[in-house]
Amino acid sequence: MKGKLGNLLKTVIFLILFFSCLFAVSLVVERKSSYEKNEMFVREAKKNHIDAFIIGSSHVINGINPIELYEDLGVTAYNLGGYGSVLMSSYWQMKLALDYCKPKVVFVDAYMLENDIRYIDDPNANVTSDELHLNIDRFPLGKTKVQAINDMIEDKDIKMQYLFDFIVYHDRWKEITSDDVKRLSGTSKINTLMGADMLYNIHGYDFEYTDLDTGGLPGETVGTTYLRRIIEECKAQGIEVVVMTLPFLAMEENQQAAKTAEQIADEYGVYSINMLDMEGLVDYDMDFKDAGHLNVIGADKVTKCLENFIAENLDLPDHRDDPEYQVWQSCADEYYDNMKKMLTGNEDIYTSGLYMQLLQNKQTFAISIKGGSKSFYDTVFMKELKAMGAGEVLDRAIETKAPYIFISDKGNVTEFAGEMDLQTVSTSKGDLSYGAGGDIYRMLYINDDFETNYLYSDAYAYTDVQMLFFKKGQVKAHQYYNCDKFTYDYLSD
Amino acid sequence: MQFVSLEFLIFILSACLITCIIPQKYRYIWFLAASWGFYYKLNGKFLILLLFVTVVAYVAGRAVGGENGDRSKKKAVLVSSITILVLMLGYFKYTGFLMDTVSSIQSFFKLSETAPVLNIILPAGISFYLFQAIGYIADCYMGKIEPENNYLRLATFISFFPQISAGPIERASNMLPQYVSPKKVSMDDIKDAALLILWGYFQKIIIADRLVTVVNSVYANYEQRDGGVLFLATLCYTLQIYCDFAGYSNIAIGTAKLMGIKLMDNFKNPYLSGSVAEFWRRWHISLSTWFRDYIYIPLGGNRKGLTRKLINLMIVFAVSGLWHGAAWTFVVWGLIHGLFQVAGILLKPLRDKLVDVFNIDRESFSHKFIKIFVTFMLVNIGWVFFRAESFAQAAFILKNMWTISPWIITDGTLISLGLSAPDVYLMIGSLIVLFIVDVCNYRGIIVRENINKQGLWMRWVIYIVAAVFVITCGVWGPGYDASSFIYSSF
Repeated sequence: MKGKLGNLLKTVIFLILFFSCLFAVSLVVERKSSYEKNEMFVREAKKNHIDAFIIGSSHVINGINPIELYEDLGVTAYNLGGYGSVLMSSYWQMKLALDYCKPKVVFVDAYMLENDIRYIDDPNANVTSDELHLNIDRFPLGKTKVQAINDMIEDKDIKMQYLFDFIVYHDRWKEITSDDVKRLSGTSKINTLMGADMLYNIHGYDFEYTDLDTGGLPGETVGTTYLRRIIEECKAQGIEVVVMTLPFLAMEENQQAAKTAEQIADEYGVYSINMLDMEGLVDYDMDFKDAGHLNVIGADKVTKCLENFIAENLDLPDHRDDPEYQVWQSCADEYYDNMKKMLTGNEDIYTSGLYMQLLQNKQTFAISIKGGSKSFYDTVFMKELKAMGAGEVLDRAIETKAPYIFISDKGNVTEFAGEMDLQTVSTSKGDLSYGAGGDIYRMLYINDDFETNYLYSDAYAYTDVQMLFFKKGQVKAHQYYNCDKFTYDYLSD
Repeated sequence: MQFVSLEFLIFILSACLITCIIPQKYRYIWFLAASWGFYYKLNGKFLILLLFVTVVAYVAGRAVGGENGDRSKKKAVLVSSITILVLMLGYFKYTGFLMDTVSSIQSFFKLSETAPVLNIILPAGISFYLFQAIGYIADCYMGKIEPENNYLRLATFISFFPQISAGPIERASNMLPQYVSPKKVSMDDIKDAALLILWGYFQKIIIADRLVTVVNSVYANYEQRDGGVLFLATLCYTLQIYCDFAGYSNIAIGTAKLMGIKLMDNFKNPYLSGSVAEFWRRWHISLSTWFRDYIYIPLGGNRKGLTRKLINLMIVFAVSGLWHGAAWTFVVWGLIHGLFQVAGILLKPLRDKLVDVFNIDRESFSHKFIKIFVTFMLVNIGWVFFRAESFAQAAFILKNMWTISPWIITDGTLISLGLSAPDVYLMIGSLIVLFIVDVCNYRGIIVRENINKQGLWMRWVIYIVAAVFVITCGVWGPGYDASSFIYSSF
């Protein structure tokens, strides 16, 4: 009997050790995308620090920046959007999140409301397995997860891949890096944008949104069923719901879906925001990376729109001075610090312009275009300058192809075009004296140093565009771009 | 239910746990229930066929066995029951082959084709369980065993789930007594069985299922391949089929051992054989001995002179080839092995003479090495027919694979054959481990026993590291389609 008990005990200890090791290995080999995206949620939700969930598709991941919501209003929101998420996956994403904490409000993006496919593993659903793994993997196996998988997926074998993702990821042993191993100590990198992912590309041209003045969808769909379930679940738990449609190049069916979303919200007496109807909210050429996804500038505009809505309609607490929410402030600081770092050194001129727009109110910089440059024909770059506040002077320069300079000092814009004697502009970083003797020869001096002309050197005399970033009395970065049919060669000091 | 599946692991774990709580006397009933359940999950309605075979074997065994009764009637029952079983095998396995052959002949003589196209599904494990049933009836007839009166026990012998899909092809004399009184499973048995199963999975999902990628990649495009790559592919297939089948056998033997049942060994380091005859004493032992006991010896074996012995050998190997696959390439593979053996017998005096003339020490390493190398190469050549889809493919490969180009190992060719670099390194490392373990076994050092003799912590570290390694680095899960064993299709 004693021997049997001993064997039993040894077996139990052995199995515990074995499964612990297997679990550790499973953490190391797992694909980290879901962990990276949702880990901050899990940490903050456990502390009950999240007042708003943002659920939906990639439109919300790229379109709403919770860091800005915190920075501007002190609202703590987590972006739980998933790439390719239909309303059904958003519903289950919310349910999984609700197991951790109860927010005060849920913002739900109604994109793909027209989707009428019952199971996500249906090939017509057009959802890749990677996309659902991103939503699901970080949440441990539990009752809600089993219900979610059973509801969303039809095929038994595919269900197993989501319930036990080691089945899929064990083969990653050959891709492991030190970052994968850091997962064991919880020090691997995670998303500090509170689930959002900002895009730094500009589509730039040919996008035109046409309001087709449609009605709603002709009938109920799987999407509408799950939107109703989201609203009903929130109402049952006393959570406010805001049904949204973010701006994108919506086709007829998408516009019908947005209308239906409003109708359903009305039916339940909850808020709705249809940003497709907000004329002028975004520039469809400049604020998008592609037809569906806002870039960081578009996200900034949409987030500001949401901020206005929150300020007017919702009573959400401001946590900015609460020391318990220090993590949020750290993430915000990290976001803006990273942005500052990214302001300079961009090989892509449009990305540079994009960062300049974002940091215009905090930075001092100048953009100089040589006379006769092909850049004047580059409508995207010209639009970026306009977005930063360039006006008639730029229009004149475009017309005459005259040398041009744009100076922005924390949002205060000065611009000159054509040949001219030295003129001085006072900025927070010092006095900038600018003059132009011809298309190529231009002058820019800082303070009393008239020995150093920052706009002319033999090596870079013929570059089309020069960008200068200033710090107290000095140029901290100087970038040159040569334009050839709107592709730019990047040169830097 | 594939052996390489979570489902199977859960099944064997549950089966073993339930076995522990059932009184030894009645365990065979549980084994039978589990086996039929397993077979139903594996092959659905073909369970009826399995039941039919067990009934035929039961009735025939009782009719032909025992000392009393008319010998001629017994012989008639023996012949008719074996005929029924062979016809069943013939129908399911060889009808298509026969039709193809008729069609080829018609095509050769430019006659209009009359053979219908048939799509007959091969029931899982039919070649294995039918051979067990035939062996049982023959043993009863020859008086080697008493007929089994308990139908359920006989059905357990024919249906036992660890071996039903691909052997080992067991003998009633070994198995029936074990079902009457199964061995009590000790902790040592569990440890040994677990290691054996783990080793089986190592052979299968770490080695064989990586080698298969290389082999398939080369065979799919063999005409464009360099000779060195063709040679590499034949080597890979030689190792693949060994790891695949030996891996399966080890999982089957280990699983049975967990339930207190000892199955016969099926492989004993076959690629370390010094002759083709020795190879067949070490490769698929359960089948080789089955052919020896139920075909070769009844044909007269070596008792009727040299010529008859050689003819008998050729017959046995031709049948063996046909058993392995319903295609002429398999028959040729069998005949090649028969010819190797015939040549070995005929040339033995000459070989002995050469050894004497050159005063070669038969025990020297170099002599043994050359014998093993030559045998390995002969077997390797034979496997080309086994793997090839046609004679033309086999002939092309055999003609072109003799280019010496060792740089394919280092010039990046290896990682252009369907495997990533880490997979190739892992495969090579694992093959080295396999070689070391086989050499140890060959020299009588059983690695499993040595591991189990270690202190507790060392043992546990080895078990855990090995199991986690196999689970993590094994070829399984979505994206892989190599989980079925080669021999389960026979």
